[in-house]
Amino acid sequence: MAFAAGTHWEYNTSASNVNGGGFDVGNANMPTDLAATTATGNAPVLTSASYNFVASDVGHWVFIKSGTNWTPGWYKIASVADNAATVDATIGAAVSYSTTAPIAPNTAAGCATTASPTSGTWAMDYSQSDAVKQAYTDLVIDAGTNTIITSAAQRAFTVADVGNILNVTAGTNFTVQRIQIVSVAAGAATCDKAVGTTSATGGTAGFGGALALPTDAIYELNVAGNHNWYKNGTYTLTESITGATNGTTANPIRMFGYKTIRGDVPTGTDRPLIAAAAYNFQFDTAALILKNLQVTITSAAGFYISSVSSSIWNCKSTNSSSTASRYGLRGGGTIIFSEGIAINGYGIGNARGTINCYGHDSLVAIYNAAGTGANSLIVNSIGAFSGTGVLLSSGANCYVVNNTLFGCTTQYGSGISGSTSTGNIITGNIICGFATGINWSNAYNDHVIDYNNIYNCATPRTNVLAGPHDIALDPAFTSVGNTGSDLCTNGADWTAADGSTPPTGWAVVTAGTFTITGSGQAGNYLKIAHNGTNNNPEISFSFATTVGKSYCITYYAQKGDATNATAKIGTTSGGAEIGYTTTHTDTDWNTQKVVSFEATATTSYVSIGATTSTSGKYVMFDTVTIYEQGEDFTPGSNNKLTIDWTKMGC
Amino acid sequence: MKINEKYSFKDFTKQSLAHVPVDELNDTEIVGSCFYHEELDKEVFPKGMTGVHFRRCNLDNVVIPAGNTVETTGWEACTTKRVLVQEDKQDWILDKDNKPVEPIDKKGFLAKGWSIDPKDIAARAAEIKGVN
Repeated sequence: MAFAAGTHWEYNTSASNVNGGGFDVGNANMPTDLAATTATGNAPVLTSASYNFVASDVGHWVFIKSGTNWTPGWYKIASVADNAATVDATIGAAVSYSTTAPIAPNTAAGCATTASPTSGTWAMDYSQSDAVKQAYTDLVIDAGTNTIITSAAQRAFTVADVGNILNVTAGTNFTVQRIQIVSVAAGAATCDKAVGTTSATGGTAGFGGALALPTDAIYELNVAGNHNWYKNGTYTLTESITGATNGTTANPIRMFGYKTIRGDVPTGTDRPLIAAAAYNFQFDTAALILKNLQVTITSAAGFYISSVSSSIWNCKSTNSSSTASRYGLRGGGTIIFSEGIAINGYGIGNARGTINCYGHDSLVAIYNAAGTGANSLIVNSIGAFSGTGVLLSSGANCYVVNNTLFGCTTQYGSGISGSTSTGNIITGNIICGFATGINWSNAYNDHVIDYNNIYNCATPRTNVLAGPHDIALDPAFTSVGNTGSDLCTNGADWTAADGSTPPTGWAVVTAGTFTITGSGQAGNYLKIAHNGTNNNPEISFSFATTVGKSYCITYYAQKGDATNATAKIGTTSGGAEIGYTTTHTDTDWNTQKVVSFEATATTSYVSIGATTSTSGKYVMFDTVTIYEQGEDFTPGSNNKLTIDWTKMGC
Repeated sequence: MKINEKYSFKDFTKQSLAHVPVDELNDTEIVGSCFYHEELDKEVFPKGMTGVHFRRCNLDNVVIPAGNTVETTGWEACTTKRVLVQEDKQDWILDKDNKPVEPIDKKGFLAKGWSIDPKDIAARAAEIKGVN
């Protein structure tokens, strides 16, 4: 039997997967005898005629489901005395519950609207603590009914236990599984499924307590309507989670992160982090809502929701895979207020709606492919520090509206790019700092393209027509692109490079011969040559970085007579931990190379070198620059994209 | 054993701890951290690190120096696989001879009707060529 739709699963890195992990707010057998005094204050005192609160309830939560003048929600027990529990009902300390409104921290003190309410429907929620409420080793299955259990001696079940989950882990003739308490009478709990064989004894189970580690099997315990709460922390996956359980439009499955209390809205690093590495964290399911979470990953997609009825809110995904065409955030549904990075792929991709999002430091910031991209929206989003701001590939009828797209200060890549994609509406966008503003590889011109501000793009348009109301004004962003001084202190003069000595400020990764030579991209350039002994000579430059900040590295490279010139960004000297090794076979200085990345450590390294195993063969580098990137895209007041209706004939 | 607060429940994906003084690590327990690298057999821990017990960690593709131990059973078992992207652009678990054994997302493969037999990797690669 599946768990109840009202089940709330709780994750906390300090807890244990031996614990029960969940609680059903929809249980129909909760006691209806809750009474309170000082119920409108910060510290209501609760009593029940059918249950005496005990000291070990302190730190657990009372769930008030309903009742005249009661304020439904979760209230944490601060102390217990004389069988009564004092709960913390100060503003922001309790969690309001409603079936018709979002679950959120309470905004009014108290647990009721009158001082002494009675007849409240309630239960204890033991699922939000690190430890179990009770580690049973003496469970007994009823002689006549295999869904009924008792404890031989350790702890009799109480009426307040209904809705909580036991994780049965061992016992002869017990089934290892999670079970939910449906009702309790005379110390015996009736569960939602057969516990094992009648009359079995010595069952072991964890009762109450939160889960610590998301697993595929635990995710698949969900049914439509379930909530999964992740308390702030780092959850390192040890297996793939490839969810197959569907929610419904009316009852989606929710996976919500929070910082300190359910329903709060964490941002930045206050959001729980799923460290997925090469494992999947994807859901080919309908009606799933992911909210307030972060993921770091290298597998095919970060947070991946395939269904149009699923959504991602306030999440961040960083896909650091060196494999091409992987995704940060990927969705068939809507991605909103979220951030995606895929160093060698698509920051945010294939969503039906990409709204108020930020894709950056990727090959493509925001992407819509064929099919999944048809009739999709990319609205009010930012695509920055990427080779392409928005790539529509071969999808059709996309709405690319009111976005801000930025390449780099010295122009790089394309703002909006497409191939066979047609029938798109591209309007109200600020497109700045690209080699090409809007770039179609095929001459499809049946798009609606107008009211865009294309500024600081070497070629504003390729294979598309200018809109009659397009403008080219400096958007005067508050702070975007290169800020501060060049962090590469010796990437142009190459001072002191001589023989085996690298340029000042650079460290040898693999020994070579380093020579300052004339006729570079600007002034002298650096020649890196095989020294007759070591293959693939390489040097690195370290620079201080702020975790979470974007940086842009530009340089020029020629292959000389070596196989190719190489460049890496890493967290170690000679490492390519941030991204991948780029190789260049240029034979002139015509093309500036650009690499943007978000720092993951306080020191980062750029390493440059040659691929060669032949003595004397060399590569050439020049004009290496490193700048922190400003990320405040607020445009100045002169960036007017206001529609002039008189010119529209209205 | 004392839990190492500084290095537990942290994400060190694709990072190196080789520079960390061993006295920050030795004879402690590291819980719930991710040390994964995309490259096989990556050495990320400092030389001389001993007595560290890893629990609930991702140590895929990482060399665990002799003298340190890893939780191998129960829900807190670490993952210590060898994983590499194959020709089909998917991550596969490798054996000690670097031969693919099964996809890391076996469930997803089966759900999509893809073969999980390594012999079919080349055919799958040809099938997806040019498709994002």
